[in-house]
Amino acid sequence: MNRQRHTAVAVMAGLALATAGCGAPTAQEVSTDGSRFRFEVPVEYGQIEFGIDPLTAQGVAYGTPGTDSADVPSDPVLVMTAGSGGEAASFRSLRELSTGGAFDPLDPGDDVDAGNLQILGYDEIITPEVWGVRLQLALGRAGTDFQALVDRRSDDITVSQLICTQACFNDHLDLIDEVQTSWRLEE
Amino acid sequence: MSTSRLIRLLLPTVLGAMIIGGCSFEQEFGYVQSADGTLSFRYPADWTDVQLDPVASEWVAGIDGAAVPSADNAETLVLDNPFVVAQVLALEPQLRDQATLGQLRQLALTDQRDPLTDDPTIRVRFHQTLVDEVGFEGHHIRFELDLEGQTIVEEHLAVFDPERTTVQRVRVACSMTCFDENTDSIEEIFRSIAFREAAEE
Repeated sequence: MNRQRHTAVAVMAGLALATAGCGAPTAQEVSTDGSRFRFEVPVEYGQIEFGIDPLTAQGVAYGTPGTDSADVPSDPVLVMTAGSGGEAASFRSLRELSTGGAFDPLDPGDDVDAGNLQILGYDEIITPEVWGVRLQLALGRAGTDFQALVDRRSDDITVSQLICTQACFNDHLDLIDEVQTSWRLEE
Repeated sequence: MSTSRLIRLLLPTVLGAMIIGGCSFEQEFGYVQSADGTLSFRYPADWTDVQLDPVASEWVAGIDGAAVPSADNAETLVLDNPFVVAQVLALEPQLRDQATLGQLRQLALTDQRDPLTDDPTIRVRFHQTLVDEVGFEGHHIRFELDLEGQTIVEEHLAVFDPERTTVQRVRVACSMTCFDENTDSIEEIFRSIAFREAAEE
């Protein structure tokens, strides 16, 4: 009897472990054509039509299905684009991509009408395989977390940008940070 | 005579020969390392380390392959012997902010032309981009350059450190005849180049 009880406990413990191991995933990996970078977004995200394009006319967007592409989204949307040109890239030129090449948000000498653009944060990314910049900006109703990463091996540039209303942005700071720091390079 | 006695007699002789051999060992290479430790390489021992003025660089070294070495050779355009210039350049914040990988190639020429651009006075023998496991990245290039009616050959390697705060560069140049005669030594120098991250202060 004692032996049977031990067996039953062991089976239940095994089942519990197996269940935990097979728990529903909370994130999925996404990427864009021409990039070795992989990012993690919530599993409920899907590919959506959304038109922000810092680099080229190409790109891909992930967000909550049904997100209105004509307005600033009320849930974070990840827009990814990739292109070549890392050999001509500098920290400054990467920051300029955040304004479509119009100006460097960090340079007070850039004589442009930046409207009500606010810089919320700036950081540089330096690893043996990657270098780049990350900027948090508020513009009008929108808040955006912009990241441009250069793959040292290929010199390709990948931009990952999360955007939504400022209220949404403030509510989802942790999620946005998790997505932006989740990148890995595919071998 | 027994074998053991023979061994005892011979042993000091063999050891003596080894010691004498060791004393007469000639060093094959000279070694150089930048002041911050980020750049090092070796060069033929019969070449001479000459003192150069660092001017705008953090650190500079000159290695002259001439029998009569001189710092003046660093400024001479067409040399009959190889001359190595190695430098570590610190980038001021504004320069660092705007520096690009492509610009590193322009350090190879004093007039800041890019050796890879279409220029009939420059013929590229090889070019490769570099990135190591730490994140040092840059260019390694060898090219012929027509100069004052003669042709020199130059080999140039320049990299950014991973954070792009410094540039490490090594340049060797001399006349085409000189370069081709010394290719093995020059290639050995470039093979030996090592980069290391600066120690945190």
